[in-house]
Amino acid sequence: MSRNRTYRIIRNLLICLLIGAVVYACLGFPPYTVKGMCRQMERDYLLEEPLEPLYSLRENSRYMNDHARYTFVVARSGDTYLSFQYEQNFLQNWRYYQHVFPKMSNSVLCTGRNGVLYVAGPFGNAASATAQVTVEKTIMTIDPDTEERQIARGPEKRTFTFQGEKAREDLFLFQYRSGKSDLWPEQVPEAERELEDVVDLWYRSYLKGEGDGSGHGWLHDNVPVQVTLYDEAGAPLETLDLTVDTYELHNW
Amino acid sequence: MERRFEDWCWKVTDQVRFWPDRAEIAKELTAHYEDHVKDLERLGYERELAKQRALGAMGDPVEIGKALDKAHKPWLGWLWQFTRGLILVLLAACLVVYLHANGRVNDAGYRIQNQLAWRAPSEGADRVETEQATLCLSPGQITKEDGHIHAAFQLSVKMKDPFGYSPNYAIGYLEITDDRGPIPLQEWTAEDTWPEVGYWRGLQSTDTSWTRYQWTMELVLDYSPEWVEVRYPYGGNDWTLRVEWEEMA
Repeated sequence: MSRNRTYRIIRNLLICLLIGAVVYACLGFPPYTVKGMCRQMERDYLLEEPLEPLYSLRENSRYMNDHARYTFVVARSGDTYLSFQYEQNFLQNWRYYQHVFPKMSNSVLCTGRNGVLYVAGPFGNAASATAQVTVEKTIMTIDPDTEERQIARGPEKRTFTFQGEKAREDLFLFQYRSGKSDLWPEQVPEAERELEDVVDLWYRSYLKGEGDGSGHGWLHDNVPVQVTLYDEAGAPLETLDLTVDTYELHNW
Repeated sequence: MERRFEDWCWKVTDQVRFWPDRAEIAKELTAHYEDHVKDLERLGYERELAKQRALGAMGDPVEIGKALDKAHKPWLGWLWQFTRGLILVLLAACLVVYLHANGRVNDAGYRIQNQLAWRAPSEGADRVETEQATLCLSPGQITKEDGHIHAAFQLSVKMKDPFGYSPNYAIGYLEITDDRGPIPLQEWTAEDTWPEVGYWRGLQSTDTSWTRYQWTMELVLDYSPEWVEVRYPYGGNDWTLRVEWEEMA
């Protein structure tokens, strides 16, 4: 009986291995650890030097009936900085390309996600940093008949300043959400509007002839971000002119 | 007599700690006992006597039960049950993946198809060997359409391991230069429209594969280029591939 059962166990384990391999291959070899995600990024972005994670954050979806689990990573391969996010649903773990898309930069990386601005780069001597994000009202009007598009910029312009938190030698985090963000920025009094409220309201597209009350789309645009690095004595070291996409600053 | 055999059988199986096997053991013992009874009946024994003798010949139930317990080791039994359950769970996972994979399972089919669709780059193609892949750049045709010059070229990438999606997002970071200077990737303009001329773009790809990918790209220009260089200066790379169209132009 023991020999027979041992044989069956080995046979069953081999079958499990085979089915598991088929499922894993059909899912596209999803990585489940940050290290695995970095290995996949190395391959998909043809990186020669190992991708070292600088910062990782795992969180569950904020919405009901959405069981997704997100992993956001900022990493470095030599002088190249990358940020990317994976979305896990049951056994699937795909790279996320919707509101947080992978970014790669050879100098300084600047990306926004869920109320935090991540700025990664060779900041060895910097003890602190500030970020100034300047938003300018940009409204696109689309003529549905001719498909002609017109962009009106300004005159409204506003600069938000944030104090950075040094997460590690080469990474600063800037919190641009003070509390729980409002999903309806129109209802927030103008003086209390935060960066993501203003980005939501100021970068929109409308069909011609239809006002603010009708449906709208959100525009992709590069928002200027000026990061100033300071040494321990508080003297400015360097000012970096960066950009971040409006979609990265949204509260999705 | 039947009652006595049932009691005997219960005493035997009670010694076996791996309880899922008890019913099977009882069934085998019953078959053995009934065979013995029939044999004795064939020899001329009365049925009741045959049953009595057969039961007597079965032996001490506790001793037999202990011997059977040794053969039916609980850890081996539970491990076996676990592997059976695991097969069912994995089959269920297969089903879930098939139903909810949003085409990912079919993706395996496309990947195989694209893997086989690979065409080796021409002999004279510029080639570079990196840690991750072997890359080749070969020239395509130069044509004139809508008043613009379309100069095609093909990038072939052979990855060294299959555990990824595809390097198609790295393609967006390529730096393209021709004999007159850098060429930008075709991107939406601020007015949400495509530029008419003066860009490069991807045309066709076999980006869902396992290890082999080919991208056909083109320059859309208002002049005929002599050559194009493709550079990738990220993550420890700094390779440049070059094709020339002089002979084809």
